[in-house]
Amino acid sequence: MPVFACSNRPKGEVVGLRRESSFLITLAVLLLTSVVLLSWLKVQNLSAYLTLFTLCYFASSFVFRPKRRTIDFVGLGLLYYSVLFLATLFLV
Amino acid sequence: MRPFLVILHLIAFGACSLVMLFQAYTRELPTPAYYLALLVFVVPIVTSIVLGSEKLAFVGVLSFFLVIRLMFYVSTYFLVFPYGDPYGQFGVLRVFAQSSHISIIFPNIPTFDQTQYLAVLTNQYSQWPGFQILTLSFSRVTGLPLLESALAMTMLLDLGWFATAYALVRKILARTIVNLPNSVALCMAIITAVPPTFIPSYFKYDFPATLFLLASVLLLLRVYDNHDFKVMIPLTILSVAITVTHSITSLFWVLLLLPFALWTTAPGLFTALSSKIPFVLGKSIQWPKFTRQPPLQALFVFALLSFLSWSAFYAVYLVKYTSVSAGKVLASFSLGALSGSRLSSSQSDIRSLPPKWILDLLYVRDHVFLGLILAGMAALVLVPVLVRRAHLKILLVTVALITVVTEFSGALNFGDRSLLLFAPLVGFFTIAPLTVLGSRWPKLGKVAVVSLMIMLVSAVGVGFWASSYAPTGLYVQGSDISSASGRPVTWPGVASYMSFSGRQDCILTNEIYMTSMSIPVDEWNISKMIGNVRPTPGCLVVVYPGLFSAVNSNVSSFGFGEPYTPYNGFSASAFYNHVYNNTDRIFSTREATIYYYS
Repeated sequence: MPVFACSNRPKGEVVGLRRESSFLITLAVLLLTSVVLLSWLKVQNLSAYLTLFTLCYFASSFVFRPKRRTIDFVGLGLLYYSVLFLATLFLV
Repeated sequence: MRPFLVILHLIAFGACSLVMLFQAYTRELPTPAYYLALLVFVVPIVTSIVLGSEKLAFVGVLSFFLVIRLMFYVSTYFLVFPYGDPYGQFGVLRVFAQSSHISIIFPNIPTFDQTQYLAVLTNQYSQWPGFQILTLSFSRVTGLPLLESALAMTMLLDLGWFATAYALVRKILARTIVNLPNSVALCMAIITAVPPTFIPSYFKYDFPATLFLLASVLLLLRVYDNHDFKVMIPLTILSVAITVTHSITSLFWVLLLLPFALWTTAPGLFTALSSKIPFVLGKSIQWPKFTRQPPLQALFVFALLSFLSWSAFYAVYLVKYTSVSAGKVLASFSLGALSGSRLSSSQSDIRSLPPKWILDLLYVRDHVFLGLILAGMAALVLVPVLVRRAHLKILLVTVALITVVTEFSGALNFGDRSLLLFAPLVGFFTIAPLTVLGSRWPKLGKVAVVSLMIMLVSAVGVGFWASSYAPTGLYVQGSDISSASGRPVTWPGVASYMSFSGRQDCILTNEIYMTSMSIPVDEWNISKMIGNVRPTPGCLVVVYPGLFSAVNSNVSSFGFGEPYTPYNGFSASAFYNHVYNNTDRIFSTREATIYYYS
């Protein structure tokens, strides 16, 4: 079952991009840019990548407000691991 | 008749502004002339609010706000920043400008200093480079030199703050039941007199962050009031801007978003709360009508993660601060805020400088102000009809909670943090009790408004940013501005002596010279704090006897330990005795003395 609610309407009926499509495209661009940017800066810390992915995900979610059919498992997973990594950085 | 009165008011605003600023610039007029100008200024401000149109009242409050903010800069001829902090900030800006590179400035790295104290400040400031980026961009775009750019940015931020605060107050009061005349202008006049907002503007990172926070709150209200989802992108950008500009503001922004995130995640919880505890949210509360709630939980997670990750990966100072000071923050809660005094015990001697009647006025003002805030918070909870919109009530209750917690913690409250950040919202608390009073007894309400306005505006006009002492040197006839500003305005003379005096491999000085921009960057490498090292042959010692220095008194005014330990292994008296007995006094004025250890 897809995470985001997809339209059943045939292609061509919707003028402009739907919010879910915009969300996915923006997220893809942001994630690609993040990877390129961090590798260009020679960052080798996995937690930096994961945190930036999480930030991109939640920023896109906030701006595009995609409809969801269920709980945001992707967001919760990203948040869990980011907080875990950040807690390690703070406490160690 | 009415146009004539409007013109009369405008003339009074303009003439009084000119007289007050002229006195700050020259200090040639008799002091009573200044008091008269202030009185003539206060009266039309009050009459424009009580009887005039909103535009006229706005002009009056704005002109008074500008005069109060400019008094310090005009009196010091735009040569000096208030207090010491902006010099560290400016030092970082200058290093960024020289290297055309934004980075964290570490001690022991050329071209920077090994002074320990200055290194701590600049290292800390460089970890939140948002303000420097803004100022440097402004300088490059306009072609203005750095100092002029820094001063211009300060003034622009002031104007931006006033405009944003006005828009925010207007939005809030339009959605509450307030029956006072010209309530928006009245609220702006009161928050112009809120203790931290009438200080001369700093060139410091918390001021732009404050502006970003207020703009974010304004956009947040726009989402709930106007269902405007186009503001999501600017809201995200502002959230990032707060994160890279100032740490505590970023934390406060996260705290402000927390109840909204909970509300979005579990709206049923808030509905249940409103029926269980009607005295907080009220049974008649109006919930916003959304088909789907705005995803504030996503913004909350974004703001929280940006704050934490910025601290973890870039601004490691905060991690160190948290580990050192968490216990001290908890231990610093006290009822000291109720005393109204903002002067540390080590600064108590300066209480004797201003006249007693001014101190009494400031004392009464502070306590009336504190009473109004507490009464306003109580009114918010006990009078549900005062604010019926759910999102506004949640916002105001959150701000009230943050304000109470920070005001009662000595470690969190440096600079009256919450009053500074949330001034327009705190302004609502001050007029809430007046609203309640006015709804029961309209005439009494008007009398209270007029009396309060006269007291607050007069107090800020004679006491400025002070609570426990007043910088009367800004306007007293024939006064020396050094005593008002706390900073001598003749540093360039000292600096030029030092640059021509030849062999120097060690400059020792107390706090202020270290943080002054009169030291060229090259000299920072050989400048050290008195208290950090002993004097040795070859040292030039610059002492500013009248300046308060945290190092000299070995205390921290912030209530938490600084990362340096002054006078480790030797005492202050031993140091100064050694200087007086073993060095040549080569330059001495009332402000500064230079000794040379041959």
